[in-house]
Amino acid sequence: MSHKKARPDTLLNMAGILIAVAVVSGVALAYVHSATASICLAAESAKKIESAKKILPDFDNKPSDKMRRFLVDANDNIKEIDPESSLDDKSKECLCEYFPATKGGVPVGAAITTFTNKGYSGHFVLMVGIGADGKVTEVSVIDHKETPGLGAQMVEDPFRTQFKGRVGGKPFVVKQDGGDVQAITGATISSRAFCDALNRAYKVFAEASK
Amino acid sequence: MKLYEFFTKGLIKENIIFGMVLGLCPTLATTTSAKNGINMGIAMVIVMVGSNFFISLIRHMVPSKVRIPVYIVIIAAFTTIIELLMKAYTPDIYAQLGIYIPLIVANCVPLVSAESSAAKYPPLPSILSGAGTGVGVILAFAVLGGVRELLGNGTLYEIRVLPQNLKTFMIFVMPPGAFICLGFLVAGFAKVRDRIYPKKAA
Amino acid sequence: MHEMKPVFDLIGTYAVFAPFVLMLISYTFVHNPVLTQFLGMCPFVGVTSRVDTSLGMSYATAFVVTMSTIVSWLINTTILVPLKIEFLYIVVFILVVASLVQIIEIIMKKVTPALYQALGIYLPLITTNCIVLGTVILAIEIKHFDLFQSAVFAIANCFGFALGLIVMSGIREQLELFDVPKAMRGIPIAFVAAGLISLAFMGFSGLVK
Repeated sequence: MSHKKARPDTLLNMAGILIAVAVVSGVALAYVHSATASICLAAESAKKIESAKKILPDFDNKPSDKMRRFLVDANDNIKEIDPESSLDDKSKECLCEYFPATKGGVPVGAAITTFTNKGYSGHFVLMVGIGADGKVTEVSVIDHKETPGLGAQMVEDPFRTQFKGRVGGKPFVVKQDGGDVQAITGATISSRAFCDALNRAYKVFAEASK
Repeated sequence: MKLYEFFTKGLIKENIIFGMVLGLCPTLATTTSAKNGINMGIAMVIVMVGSNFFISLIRHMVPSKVRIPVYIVIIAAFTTIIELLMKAYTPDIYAQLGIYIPLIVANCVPLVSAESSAAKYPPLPSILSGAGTGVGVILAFAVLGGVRELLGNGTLYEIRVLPQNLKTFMIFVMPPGAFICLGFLVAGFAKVRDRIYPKKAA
Repeated sequence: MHEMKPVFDLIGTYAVFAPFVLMLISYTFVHNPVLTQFLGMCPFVGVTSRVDTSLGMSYATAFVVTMSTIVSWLINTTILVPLKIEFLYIVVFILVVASLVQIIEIIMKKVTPALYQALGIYLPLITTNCIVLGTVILAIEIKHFDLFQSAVFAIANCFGFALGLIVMSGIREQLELFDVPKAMRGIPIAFVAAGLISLAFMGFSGLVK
């Protein structure tokens, strides 16, 4: 094996190689980013439609056609916005989307994307299906950064499925706080946050049904 | 050193997780189940193979004083590529592993691999060495994840092994169990390694 | 009933500072970065065989973590976000950390040689310590804190890191005196001890909602 000597440590050499490597990786990353950005977006919206299909009762319209968007601030003030408007990152964090479902023209419920900022790692996003009778049909987790194996268990049974068929008139509260929701062992914070997101969905549901 | 040895030494002889006890953040954090551990290991292998290849290509051009920053930028670039690809194609896995994907860059493992092989050898041995170290990582994560999943949840790679009504030790899925499991596995690993590769009498 | 106006508005002051005090308690005890998030594990195992070295490591890390969180936050909001190149955050933040470590090393060598003597050996190790990049990414990319919150978060994480290191090294110093089974000596028994500390820290959960 030939042992070529490394370049001498002159300032020009050092700065040159660092800048060259940084620029090359920057360009390469920009390329990968632009190539994956559209796939990311498509996957995200496909996931929403897919989740909406799963969590709603039988329906025959296209829920995304009549989608409505609401911004919910820290004090739970709800403001409806134009569904087509573009949003910055800050407002995306407090966005709830409302997908109404009908069967033969009769409303059968809605799928609502909702969020919480009280998770163990802050923000996460759920989608809740609410029937016309106000009962939870199903909940699915769209996006979260909770601890793998602990808070992340909210994706699985039996935690997530316990909400099925419950009426969301009064807020969901975990047992530790005097409610009746069975929290995930070792992940009370995530469980509380999950309830917080569900309660927000019901506020949006009430606002949208006005 | 024969070419295949670049690959095999990383598996058991110089296993970077159990043997050298490096790269502990993902080791402890992402091994709540065998599946999570293996996914994390795969992400790390790709980063290591890619960065070792490029570092090895430019190894003669890099003045030794800035070598670490240059390696870190290359590793960071590959970490970002993995992150973007995972976000696009496997968003569920990305959501599970969360912050530990970007943290691959601050992990000692790829940097040690770059320093010990890519900085010295041509591309092919460097790739093999990166892959070997990486497969060693996957093995370690799979074993640790498997043990924790089995003891904590009664399942192995999401397949139920222990009877449903048997009480399992939740604690093994939680942080304390990670430490305790790793402690015993490191001790057990040293025994196994010394049996396979007996130390030459000094 | 409300005529009396206190000279020092205790409730008002509390309302302003409470979130930060809570954050300090939360990340020092409840969400201890080392024992629950596994950030900064390498020094946790590597330098905790003695109490004084782990103190030194804690000081040096605290300095780097706080500085790099602030600098990265500023770069993120003034350069990355306006140019829409947030996807470069990993490369940019690790470069910030690496160059800060270099700069701090040079400045310390010139200005406070005594401190450099004491902490210098830890500085190169800090770049590849996940707690630095972990804190930066958590504060900026995941929790979206503002500058002040990020700084408090960084300090709180450092307290947690220091606490973990010091408790651990205290226990390991004692462990040397015990007759540990041969196979478990050194690192394995240290992990088991860490597991038990972590178990003890789980008792803090629920302290901060």
